[in-house]
Amino acid sequence: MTFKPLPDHELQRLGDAQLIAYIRDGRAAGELGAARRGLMFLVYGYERDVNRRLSIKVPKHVVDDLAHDALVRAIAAAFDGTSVGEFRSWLHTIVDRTAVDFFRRAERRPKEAILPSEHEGEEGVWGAEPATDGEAGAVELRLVVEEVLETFNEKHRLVIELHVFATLTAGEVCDRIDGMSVDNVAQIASRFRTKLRARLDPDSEDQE
Amino acid sequence: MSDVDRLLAEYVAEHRAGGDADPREFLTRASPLQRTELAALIDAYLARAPRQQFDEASFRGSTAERTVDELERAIAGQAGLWPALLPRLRDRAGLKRSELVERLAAALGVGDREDKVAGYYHEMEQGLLPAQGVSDRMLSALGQLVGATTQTLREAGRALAPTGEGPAAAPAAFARRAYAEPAEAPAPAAQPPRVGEWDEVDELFRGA
Repeated sequence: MTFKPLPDHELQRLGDAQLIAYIRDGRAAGELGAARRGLMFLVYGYERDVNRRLSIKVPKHVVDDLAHDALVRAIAAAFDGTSVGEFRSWLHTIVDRTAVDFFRRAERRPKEAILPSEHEGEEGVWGAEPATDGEAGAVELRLVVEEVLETFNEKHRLVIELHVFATLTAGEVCDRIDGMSVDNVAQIASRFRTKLRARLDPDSEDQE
Repeated sequence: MSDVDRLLAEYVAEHRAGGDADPREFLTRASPLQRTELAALIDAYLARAPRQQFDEASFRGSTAERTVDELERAIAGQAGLWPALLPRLRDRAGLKRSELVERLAAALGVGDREDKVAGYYHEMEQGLLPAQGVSDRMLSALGQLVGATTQTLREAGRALAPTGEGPAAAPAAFARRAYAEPAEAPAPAAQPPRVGEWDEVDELFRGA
């Protein structure tokens, strides 16, 4: 097997699957320095967003530890070939599971977790809100978004992805999707948000 | 544009500009009624965000670097994910390595051979001890000290087994390299004695 260490600018251009394959090949070739370099790009590339996502879901004092656990689990599974689908999606599924596991453990050992509400008044710490079903409810936020997205057809999902999450203007979305008008984009985005609000808080429909 | 739209747009702009983009800071700016919706949208946006560009200066000394150090020892060694798991479990249990070793030796009934236990345990954390040789009795005792099940520790030790093709994928090749070039050289005093009679401590750590 021939393994060729890559310079940084080429590592930067690799997709996740290619980067993981590079790390695996570097290991198999005994090029551990190159494998480490690949790991640096992969871990650094996702760690901050994993931290950010967990900071929405769990108390601040456990975010770093849980982010570490999620990254290690996801990379190990990708490395072993036991992960499912593309790495980024798999990683964020593991992030969700890690947050769920945290609350399960906290239920078994109540004193382990300092609930966000215990930080009330402390600067920079998110308190008990937002509450969907208590703190554990925040764990499911992304899943709720995905469920709501699934209620739209493929073309409309693409509109929502581009307009809401990629923050393209309605005009830019129309440039990318045949037969779409600015008004249609606005209507689809509005329907998505209405459905999302209703799913997150069924009482919200009464407020509209 | 609603408050949620505006805050999401501001969040996305800060995130793309490489700023802190701390979700909690933005959530505190939303009204309680809108907070859950904003949290869901930020969470879903982050799960879609591409891998961040590597930055050497930011990486140095970061939590990402520590994770990479642990994963490097894991992929270079023979102990699966133990280098990424055991130090964290020990930290979370609030135990220094010397304290854990003392309690572990006592729990195993080999308190009079603490130095030897220390050497083996150090090898476990560094990924230098073949995981398959470690006995269930040892893992059970260790698990009770750090709050993990025997099964969790066993599965972590089995992870990352080399599966690729090529000459360097052979475990023996890694074993030689790992022992010759440990990522963090153990203190001489912590090296387990490899000479002398096989005893109960060897059986616990290498006899399975």
